[in-house]
Amino acid sequence: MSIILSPDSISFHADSSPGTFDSQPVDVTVRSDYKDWSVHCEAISPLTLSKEKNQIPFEHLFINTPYTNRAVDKGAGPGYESMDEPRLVAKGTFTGLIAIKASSLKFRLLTTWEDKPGTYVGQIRFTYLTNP
Amino acid sequence: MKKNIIYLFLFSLITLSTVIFLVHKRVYGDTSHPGPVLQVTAIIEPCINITLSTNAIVFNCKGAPGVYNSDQNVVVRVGSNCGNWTVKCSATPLKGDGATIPSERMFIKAPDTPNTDKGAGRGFEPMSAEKVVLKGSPTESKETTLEFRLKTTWEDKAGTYTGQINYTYLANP
Repeated sequence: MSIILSPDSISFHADSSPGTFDSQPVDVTVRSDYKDWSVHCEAISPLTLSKEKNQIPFEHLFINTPYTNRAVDKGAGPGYESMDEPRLVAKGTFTGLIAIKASSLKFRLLTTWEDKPGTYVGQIRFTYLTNP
Repeated sequence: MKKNIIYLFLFSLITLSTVIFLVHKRVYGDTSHPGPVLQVTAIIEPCINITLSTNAIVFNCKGAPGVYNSDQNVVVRVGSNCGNWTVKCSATPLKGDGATIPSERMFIKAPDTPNTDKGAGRGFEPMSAEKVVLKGSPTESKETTLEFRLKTTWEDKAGTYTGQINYTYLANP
């Protein structure tokens, strides 16, 4: 099974008063030999200010997937769930040799007055579960 | 005795089946595999937000020359994500029809201005130079209330004068 993220990096540019800021959307393309599979993602390192200890917590990073509840607003708009826990982003069945676009993800960052100016970096890891 | 052996056999069979199922699932199914990692960057720009309770004040100088209060005080609210910031204000001269009232005859009082009288009452300072009105650190909102006075003389021609009080900020991320 292979998973391709396009793009493989995203950025947020908070250039005004604190609020929500969107990154580029990310397409998840999957090729699978397994009968059933699912892809999950999880923030593994909080957004951290370069060379300092300031961090933006996982709860301020949000994701919108085909599986998030569009009726719920947890502070970043309807359909956005915080990344304080792993999130299902795609699932499907055997694809054969052809890779398919399995999901399109949107990310959103919630900033506050307490977030010091600067460049923060972090990582989101994708994992997959398979069932032959 | 024979019955016990049958029960023991059935129990062993169920246990073995369960173990085989779990091992099979562990090896072949519902296994978590690591996939790609998405790099995330967030750029937070320095930000300072200044709001004023009003965008105009008026001095109604209807009597003899003297000191007049503005029709309202000005509440300055600041939000900033910067480590240290300072908000200052300065006044331009008030210009009328062929006449000018210099900015040093406009006075300002903030909560922390010295309680001395410089010609317009205790705590009021002439706006001949830039005045610091508020300082702070990262905050959602900090505010102060500013009072203004104008000192008129017999030399000020009757008429309407206009000018500006400009607010500027200095931020250190």
